[in-house]
Amino acid sequence: MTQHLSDRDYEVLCAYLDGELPHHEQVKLEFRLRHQPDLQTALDELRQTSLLLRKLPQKRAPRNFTIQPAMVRQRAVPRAFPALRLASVLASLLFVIAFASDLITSHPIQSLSAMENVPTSAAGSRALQTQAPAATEAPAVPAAAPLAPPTPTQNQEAPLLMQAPAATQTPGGPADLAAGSVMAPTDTPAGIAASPTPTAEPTSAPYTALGVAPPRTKSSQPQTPAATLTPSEQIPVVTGTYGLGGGPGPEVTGSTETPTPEPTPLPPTETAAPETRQPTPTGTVLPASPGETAQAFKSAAGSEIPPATAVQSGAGSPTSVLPGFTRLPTALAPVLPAPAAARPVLRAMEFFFAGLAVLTGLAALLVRILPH
Amino acid sequence: MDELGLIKDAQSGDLGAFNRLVLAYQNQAYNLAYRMLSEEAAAADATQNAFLSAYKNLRSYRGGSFRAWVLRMVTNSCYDELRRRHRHPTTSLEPATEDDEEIESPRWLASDGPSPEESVERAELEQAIQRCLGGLPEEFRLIVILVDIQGMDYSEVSAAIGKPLGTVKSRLARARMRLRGCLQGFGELLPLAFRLEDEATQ
Repeated sequence: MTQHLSDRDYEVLCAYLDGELPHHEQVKLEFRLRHQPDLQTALDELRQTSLLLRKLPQKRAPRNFTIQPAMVRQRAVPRAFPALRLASVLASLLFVIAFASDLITSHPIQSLSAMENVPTSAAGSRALQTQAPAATEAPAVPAAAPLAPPTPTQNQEAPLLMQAPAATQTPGGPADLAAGSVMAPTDTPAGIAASPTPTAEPTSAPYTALGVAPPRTKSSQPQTPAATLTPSEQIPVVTGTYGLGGGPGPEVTGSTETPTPEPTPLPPTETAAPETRQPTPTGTVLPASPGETAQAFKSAAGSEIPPATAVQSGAGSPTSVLPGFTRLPTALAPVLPAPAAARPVLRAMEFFFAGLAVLTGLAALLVRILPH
Repeated sequence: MDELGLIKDAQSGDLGAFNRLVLAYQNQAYNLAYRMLSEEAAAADATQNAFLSAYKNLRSYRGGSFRAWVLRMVTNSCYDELRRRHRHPTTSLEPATEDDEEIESPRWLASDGPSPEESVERAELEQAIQRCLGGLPEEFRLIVILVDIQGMDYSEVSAAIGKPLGTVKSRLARARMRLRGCLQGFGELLPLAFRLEDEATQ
């Protein structure tokens, strides 16, 4: 038998049978064949096997396999895979766009709200200290904060303020009257207590009374912590306007007709924050009834300033509440990055495109897996 | 036949030129498909698909042995059919013997050439060889068919299957060894010389 022959021996034998062996290897193999009967036997077996195969009758083609023009023109069965692949790509892109737009639109809206709440008039905007409805408890900012010129710097600092440490439900002092608190104008415009105090000199009495230094601003405008907040239960409220003030004049600009539940960003230190005061956590105040215009503020600005109601917070910091605004629980004032009307639409778009992407991806996968 | 001219004409869209090439190679293509698939209808379908694919991909032909290129198309078509069979195994409707072996169609009885006994022996031998071929792994089977049945040289086979020459040699040797062992089981069907040598070795 030829059991001891290696695979290499069989390869050489096959190549020798087929005439594919190089000459020098052929000479060597013939020498071995003369001295190794097993190798010769294996060669004979392979030769017989090959001869058997070569003797197999050649099958004739049962028909002609020529190509007809109709076969060439016959289009392949349309497969949905390319379309599905494109659809999945498009759906994924749209999903990303929708998601990104949701993220993008949230911050600009906040900034826009901040801008709306910053007076666009001259630096010495009046003392009306109304804030946009905020979702977070903003840190207390000195009352002079809104007095700073409504420069772009203020607007840029707004997000920083929104990221400030969350405040507790501590009524703010004069600081949060103007800055940190988010006010909610209520139905009675006469109640706006944030009327300016047109005094030529900075009024530091409230600060001295509260034991804190009056805020100093870079604009060196006479600052009047005019806005004093009192609980809405005690003071009539303003209807749906809000703006920022603090200057001696009664001008109120930058009010919005439709208040958005945005936190009011206030520059903490650079523009208006007093150096000696640290942001005091304050509660969140939302407009009680939005909808009115700045006329309400203007009308209210001419009125007397309601007495500031200094309230000792739990931490000991004096706070005041602008009349006409009510505080809302913090839990009810989450961060609302987008208008309430737009959020369901964006959410629906997200889910729609996400679902479309998943479905198209699954369909493409099934088309790959399933047989033709 | 000016094969190169026909190929160029076919590459430029001349369907008639390509069909002349088809007529020249269709028997080899069908034989390869039949030996690979062991079924006439499937072999015909595979051959037709291979030529259609060859026409559509004719621009990918970059020279060399056109026969090897065509048989490569046939090989791919046969592999597609074999994969489909693996995915969807079927049961033959042919009647089976007591040994659970299929009874082939008696069409060979209509042959008017050799005697019935010779025809029977030849057909049975062919059937035995085909059975042994079918028992080989597909890559071994293809090499044996191309070399021993189609008569191609090693380099052409290497071009047809896209494998190195060493792979062709080793697979051919192993395939022949396995065939030898398989055919020994059909000793009485083998030619006398084959049997005598086999008995002498034993």
